[in-house]
Amino acid sequence: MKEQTEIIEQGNVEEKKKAKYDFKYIANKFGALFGLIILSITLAILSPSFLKIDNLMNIARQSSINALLSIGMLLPILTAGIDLSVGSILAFSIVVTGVVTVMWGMPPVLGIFVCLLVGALAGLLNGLLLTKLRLPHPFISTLGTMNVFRGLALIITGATPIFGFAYVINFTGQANVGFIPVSFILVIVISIIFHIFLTRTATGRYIYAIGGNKEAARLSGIPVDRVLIKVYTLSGLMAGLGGLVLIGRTNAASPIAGLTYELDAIAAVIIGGASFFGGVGTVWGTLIGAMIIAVLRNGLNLLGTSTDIQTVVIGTVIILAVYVDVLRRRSKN
Amino acid sequence: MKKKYFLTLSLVIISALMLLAGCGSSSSGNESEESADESIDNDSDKPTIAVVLKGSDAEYFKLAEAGAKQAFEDFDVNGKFLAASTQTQEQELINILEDLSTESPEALVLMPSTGSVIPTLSKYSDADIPVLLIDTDLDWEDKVTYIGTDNYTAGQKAGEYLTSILSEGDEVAIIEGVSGAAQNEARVSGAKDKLEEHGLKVVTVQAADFDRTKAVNVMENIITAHPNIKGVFTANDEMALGALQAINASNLEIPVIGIDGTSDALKSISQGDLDAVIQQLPYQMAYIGVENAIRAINDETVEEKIDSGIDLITNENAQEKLDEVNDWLGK
Repeated sequence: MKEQTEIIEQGNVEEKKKAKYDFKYIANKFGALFGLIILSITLAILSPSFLKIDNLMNIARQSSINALLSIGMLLPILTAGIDLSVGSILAFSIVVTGVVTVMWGMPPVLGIFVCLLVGALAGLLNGLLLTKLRLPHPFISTLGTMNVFRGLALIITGATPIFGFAYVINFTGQANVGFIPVSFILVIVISIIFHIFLTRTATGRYIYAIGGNKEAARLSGIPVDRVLIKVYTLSGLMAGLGGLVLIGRTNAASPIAGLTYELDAIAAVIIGGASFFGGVGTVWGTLIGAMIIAVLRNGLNLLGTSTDIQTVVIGTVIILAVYVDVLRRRSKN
Repeated sequence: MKKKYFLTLSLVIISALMLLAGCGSSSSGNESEESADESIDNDSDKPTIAVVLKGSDAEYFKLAEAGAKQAFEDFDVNGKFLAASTQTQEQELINILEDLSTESPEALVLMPSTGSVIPTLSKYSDADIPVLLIDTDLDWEDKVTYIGTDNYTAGQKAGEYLTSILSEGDEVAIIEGVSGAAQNEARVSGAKDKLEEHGLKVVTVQAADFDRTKAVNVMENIITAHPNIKGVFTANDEMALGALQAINASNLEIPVIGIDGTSDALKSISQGDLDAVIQQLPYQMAYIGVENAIRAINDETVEEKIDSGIDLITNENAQEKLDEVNDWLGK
């Protein structure tokens, strides 16, 4: 494991040294983007509706929830961890928002903050469980909280969805600026913020370092626990934000919303070129991963492909993406 | 080296898509076999009708799919069939409806989940595309019609069957689904009204959440608490089969009737285990949906509410119905 990560780090340095015009370097760095472009061209040929503005905006809208969750998910995966609870945190955040605004009459603007706060607090709990209770792997701690938050969402609502949200809350998921969905603008803004956070701040670099080699990071004085707590809190916050968009999309807060969304988010991160072993991955890659999934689903819908087959295709793409990652490591060895 | 990997990846994705485009055309009806191109704008003389279902993870949905595709063939239309994977994922259904709206079908036949699809449906009504609802009704004024089963009538019919084999004063138990769910309430009150009207005593109504395993436990408790039970009505087939299991385990002979008509239940009836079910007809709902979509496209009048009908299945006709269902499912 150590050897591997050292090799990755060396690889990163080597890549940076290489001329930017090196074709291999570009192919590696923009592989997912090439995939997205080729996929889009293919779909444009197969379906005349694919390139319509309406349809492109549909894709932007449909990808936004998964994109937000995926950007959140990128952080734990960069630290060689995982967050299985984001779908449940999403559901928990939105039903709490539903209870406080629709049932208790809290002003809707505050409801938005509640939604984000609940998500962040749930994520904080994940971070604390991992670092303070020293649970062996976030797979375990977040598997636990995945069930806890889903159960709480069901208990709070008595297993029935909450309807009747104010426009202020629905705005993010429903409104357009011109013809561009607000939710997609949000995704772009969040991506820029997270890109700067990961590449230009100390915490961002620590995240990559922890994923590269946790022990080495600890020995070199990085406050590993504090960084991990931040990572899971941010992942929870993104789940809350994704929930806000979902409320607007479905006009409702359902306790069973977001089932298996964590898996779509993991898929987007991996397709976007991040490594499950930590330390490798970018916000832009993740965003492209989320777009590839959305474009695939949209295109297959336009082609009239059955949902069962769509599921098989997405699964195949994930396996291929991971295989590419494996080949990439092998070629470095 | 790396270039090669990505090239391979892209090629595999493309070839997968090509294959799927092929699958899509063969599964969406006859029309696409004639033309290799899948575009729905192609056969401009034929109307384009989209059928969308809220789920695809139950036999019920597969039957509706079969009905829709048969209708595409019989009425010679450009059919487009899509379904969400499971009915709890409303987001997925909304995505499908958005995607389809860019293709501008001439009519939409939809089996919706909840009212959360209404904002998306207004895209269709704004574009003057008629929307016909099947199976689940929505409180949305722009729909052309609702085609489905009247759950209250189905409950009444089940109650009627029990009264026909029992006598006045007999004790009857009701196992309901999710308490509070509209479909459940209608079925239970239909059955209860009919039973009480004919002088049978409903001694207990207990919930088993439409779940087979829960119904086993509930039925065991009922047998203990009310040893004189002469008949059982359950709000769906799964619970009927569960109740039956508890009854058989206690070596009792109590008739059980459910509602839905799944092939599991039909099989059980034909083997003489389960007594009867009231069968809903998803195949007919989708078929009638397409039929009336054509009427709507041609500006003919469509009734506001269409009953797709229900059937009483007993030992006499169960095998025949089972064969029919298997035939529709292509088994």
